[in-house]
Amino acid sequence: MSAKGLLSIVLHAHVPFVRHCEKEWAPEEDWFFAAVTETCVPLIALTERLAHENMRAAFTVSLSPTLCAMLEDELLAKRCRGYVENRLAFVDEELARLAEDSPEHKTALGYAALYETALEIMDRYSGDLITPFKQLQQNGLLEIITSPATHALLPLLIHPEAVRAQVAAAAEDYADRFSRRTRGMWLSECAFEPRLTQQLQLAGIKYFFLENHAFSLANPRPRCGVYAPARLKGGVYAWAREAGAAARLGPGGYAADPVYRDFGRDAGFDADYETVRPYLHPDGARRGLGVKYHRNTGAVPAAGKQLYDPAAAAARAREHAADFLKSQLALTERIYAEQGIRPVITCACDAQLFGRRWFEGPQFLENLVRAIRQERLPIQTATASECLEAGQANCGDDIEPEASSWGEGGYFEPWVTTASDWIYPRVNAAAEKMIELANRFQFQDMSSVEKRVLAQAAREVLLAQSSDWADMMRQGEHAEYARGRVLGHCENFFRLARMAADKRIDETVLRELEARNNVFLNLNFRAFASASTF
Amino acid sequence: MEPETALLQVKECFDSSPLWAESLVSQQNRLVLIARSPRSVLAYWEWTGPKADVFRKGAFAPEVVFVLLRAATGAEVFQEKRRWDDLRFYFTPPAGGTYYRAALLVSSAAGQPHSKLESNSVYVPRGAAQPPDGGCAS
Repeated sequence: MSAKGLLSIVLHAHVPFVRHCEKEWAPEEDWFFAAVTETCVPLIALTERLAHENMRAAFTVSLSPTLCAMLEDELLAKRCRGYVENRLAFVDEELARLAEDSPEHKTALGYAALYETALEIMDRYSGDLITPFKQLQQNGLLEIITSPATHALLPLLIHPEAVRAQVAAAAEDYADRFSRRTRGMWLSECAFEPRLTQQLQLAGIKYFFLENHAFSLANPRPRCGVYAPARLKGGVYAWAREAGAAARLGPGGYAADPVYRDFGRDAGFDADYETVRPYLHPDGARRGLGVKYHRNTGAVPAAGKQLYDPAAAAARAREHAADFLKSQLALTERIYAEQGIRPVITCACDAQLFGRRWFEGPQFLENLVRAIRQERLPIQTATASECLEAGQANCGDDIEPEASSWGEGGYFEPWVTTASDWIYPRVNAAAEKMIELANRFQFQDMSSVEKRVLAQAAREVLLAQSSDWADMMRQGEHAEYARGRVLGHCENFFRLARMAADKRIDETVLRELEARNNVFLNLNFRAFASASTF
Repeated sequence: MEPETALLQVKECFDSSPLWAESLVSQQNRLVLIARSPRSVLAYWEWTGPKADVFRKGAFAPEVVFVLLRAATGAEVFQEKRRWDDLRFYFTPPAGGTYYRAALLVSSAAGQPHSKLESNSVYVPRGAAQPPDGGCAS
């Protein structure tokens, strides 16, 4: 049956660069390990399962460059294996402790399967999880796109050169890793302002994603609203998230169903300390161990949460997939009747919602693709590039989307608060100095070590620009860590900048920083030059 | 001029004043605007150590004048006096959907114009967003 509409499922996966090779262990690395085991691996596994049955997921997956760097890092692969083995050992102990007919035992079996799958996939690819994503893209099952180099919030960068460096470094990093140019870019937090369009075009980006009020307040408004790509000056295209689909797939949508697993309660906090102690970090502090026995339940305190039933949750994930498809089919019919177009419905989400926060999210996605095929529904999932090809004819006149983000309030406030505003003088001063150095040295003959100093300086500026630090400062929980990261990267940068300017290089310091902050290995410092030909 | 923006106040009570002290020993005198929303813009400025010393010694008037301008025409939008060492303030621009820039005017102790800092140009978004739909899980 030919499709009356296309579903563009876009999943943005990002973890800040939290590799700490200078330490034996770092709790922040757990963020990465959780993203691997609870989001990346389930996504790879479900795409492969569907492919074995001749079904295409056809999702668009944005993998941030910092996440990519960590996904193929040998040290982190080894540590991630240790993390998974530790989780499996804890689950084994839980399985031995729990009565076989208890609800918790069924739940624990699910965790055993989750971590065994993670181990199997990690071992199959020798710990390098870029390879399966690359293969899935080569086989046409997924489209992989990128995001700004370190997830900087581009409208907050005051130097055009700094914006270009974030975009160009990401595009080059993607080309190195995936052996092709990226077509799409996920703008960090969907944050946009009109001057970005030209920078994206210069980096060869064909399309990007925005929050829906970027279109509803655009000048002129797009002819087909959010149901077709909008063309911008310079031939770049933008998609806007469909509000109804976003609400269903957001944290307050299906994911909040009382039957689904609760994210908050965790055996790491609930169980006897002596039981969990062997599985905690050396500091002995209680932390989540990824084994959670309760369901959302509803608006009750944590102590009132009821036990999780995996079978009931799986059934609900099937019901929700059916409900979602029903709603999207109805929308498709309505748009077709009103506008005479085959709409593209852009369902763009944070990937970590699927699996990590919404434990049953990957099941939901798999059910979605299966239901479309098995019930021969007149709608299909398609990658963003396929949707662009299908929807280009409906673009209408060039538009200028409004500045916006998908953050709280719809603009950029969450990243500029009284707890984080001090970042910007430092980061902007570092960027300005980096631009000055790039302009000064870009045409000079330089020794290999001098180029390395400038490349590392550029890495430190990029890392300082990550939007994650401001977000952590606002939320408070990891604020001290975030402050340390901003101050540390700026300090590293100015140290390297002095070495470059004075031509007095301390190779020991340089080597240490290169080993520690080893992102963008092929980064060209000229990305920061004002008249860069990068 | 401080907007009543809930997001400006964060969950954690954190005194960032010591971190702003570095803006008094900057490599360069600088004025910067950063748009937060249609209703809120952050302005911050930095002084080199020698320039800050001149303020401290009283050779410059302690009040500086912040002037907001429309970037396209240079037309003045408003003026506001601030202390030289406030180093930042948040203000509500009169309208969104336009570019602004700003200047910070420094006077001698006797009130004679001395120098001015000029800012970057900033785009302030138009209109009010739809209620956030919680798409961002972070």
